[in-house]
Amino acid sequence: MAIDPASFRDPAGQVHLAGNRVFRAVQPVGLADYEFVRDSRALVPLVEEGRVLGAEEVDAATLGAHAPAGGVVLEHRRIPFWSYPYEWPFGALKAAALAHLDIQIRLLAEGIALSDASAYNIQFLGPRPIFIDTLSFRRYRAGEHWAGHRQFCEQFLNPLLLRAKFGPPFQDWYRGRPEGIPAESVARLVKWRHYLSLGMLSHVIAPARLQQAAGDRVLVGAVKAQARGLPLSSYRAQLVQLRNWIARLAPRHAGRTAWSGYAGDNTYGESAAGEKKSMVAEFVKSTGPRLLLDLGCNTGDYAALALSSGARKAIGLDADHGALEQAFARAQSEGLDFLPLYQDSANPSPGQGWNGMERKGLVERCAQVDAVMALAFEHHLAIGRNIPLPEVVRWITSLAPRGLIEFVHKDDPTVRKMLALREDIFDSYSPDDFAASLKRHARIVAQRTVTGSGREIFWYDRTR
Amino acid sequence: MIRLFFAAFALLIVMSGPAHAYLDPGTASIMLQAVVGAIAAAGLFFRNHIYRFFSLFRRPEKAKGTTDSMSGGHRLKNDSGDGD
Repeated sequence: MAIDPASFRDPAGQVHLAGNRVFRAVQPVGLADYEFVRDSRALVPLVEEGRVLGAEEVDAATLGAHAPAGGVVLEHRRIPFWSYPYEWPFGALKAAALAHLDIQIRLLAEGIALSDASAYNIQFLGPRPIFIDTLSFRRYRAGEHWAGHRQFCEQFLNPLLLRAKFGPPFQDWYRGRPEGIPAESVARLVKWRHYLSLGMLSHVIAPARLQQAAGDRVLVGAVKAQARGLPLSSYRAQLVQLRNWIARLAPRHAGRTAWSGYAGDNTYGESAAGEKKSMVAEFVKSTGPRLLLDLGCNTGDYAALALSSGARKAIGLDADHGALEQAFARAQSEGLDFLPLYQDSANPSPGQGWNGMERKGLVERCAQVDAVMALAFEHHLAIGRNIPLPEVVRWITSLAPRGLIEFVHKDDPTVRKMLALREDIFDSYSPDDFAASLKRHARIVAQRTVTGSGREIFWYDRTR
Repeated sequence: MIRLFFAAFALLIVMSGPAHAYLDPGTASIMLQAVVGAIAAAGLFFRNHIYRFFSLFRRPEKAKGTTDSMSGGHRLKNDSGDGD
């Protein structure tokens, strides 16, 4: 039994992990609100629609010495793969923001408010956002302000605005500041035309200005404002206004990126793609992955194929924003259990936050992954980033007990292009070198040439 | 008219004083919510009424798909206080 290092800040309750089971202890300070929300039954339809994670009350003794004084312990279904907002594509952060606001708007009508607006309270099941923190819900108190407004702006709105209004992707910036992007930073970027946007004025420019204005006077004003109270109609209206605004946001200058057109115009022809596809299908049918990791997922063609061949769920990683947006949109429209995430594999997400443990590193979160696909991927690390081939093989095979790895040799047109302007410093980069590295970690189940140019896919298994 | 109002609001903000002290980050949010919420509420109110007013002159249409399933039946696309 261990307390999840991400839940220690909330006095209302903590998450406990015991093997495969996830419990939430409701502490005395959170009990009245929990019971109010439970007895209102307002969450029932949201749970049924898959918008809020269900929670079942279980015997408090399950937590042993950790059992809370109030005696209420909840059990949650486990989220198969944990992801963070700084890994989500624009479309995912937008879907999460809308999900958060929709839940708030619906619950406000039932007399329930949310105590915070943390983006980390949302997780994804495939491309569908789900709200996971049962103890964020509490009774609405007449006249109260939206306590989570600033947090909502920093963790949802401002990252979206950065991309939608100014262009730069938010993910790297967000990862550098897991609490979100502050209004002051975005306000530095505004142009005069943004002063004509009610949204920009209300949620970015004005907060940033006030933040910088003289201290105590503003504080006194805020205390007075709080005492005066906020009408419920105003509370709801600002949620609806934000919702409508965010629903219209789209990435700026989101034309074709380096990889978003890849599936259509890659360096091998139809028949080669056919060979590759048949090997993926065979691998999936034979191994039946429950959680497949697709490295360099691009727009998700092979993940989609793996899912249709019998893989239960797929997570994709890629560093190309255009490809990721397409992959996410496709998962949504085709209803795939596929979540594409932003990740530079040469610099995977580290452990972050308090003690470096609040947000887990990528590799730690891959514990449930039972198969990996690295198609047209290895050379980007080995040649593109100078990571020694044995290291690349060690890293990929460490992620899952079985997998497919495509080896792209030096005569391949892509690698030739990568080496066109630089010295070839890669002496130990051949199919034999690759196979030798792979054998150090796993058994090679099959090895097949899949393109006319000689690309080979290796099927490995390190369980036997 | 509304744009003019924004411009005045904008001017007010631009002319506010320079930075001095550290503030609790929630302060600005609390201060602004009364104004922002009221403007948004007024926006929703007028949108609804303007919409209803004009719909008097329109031929009755079949139920339009404006109810957003994500929002549990609130007619969000019509009752919008516009952000941008």
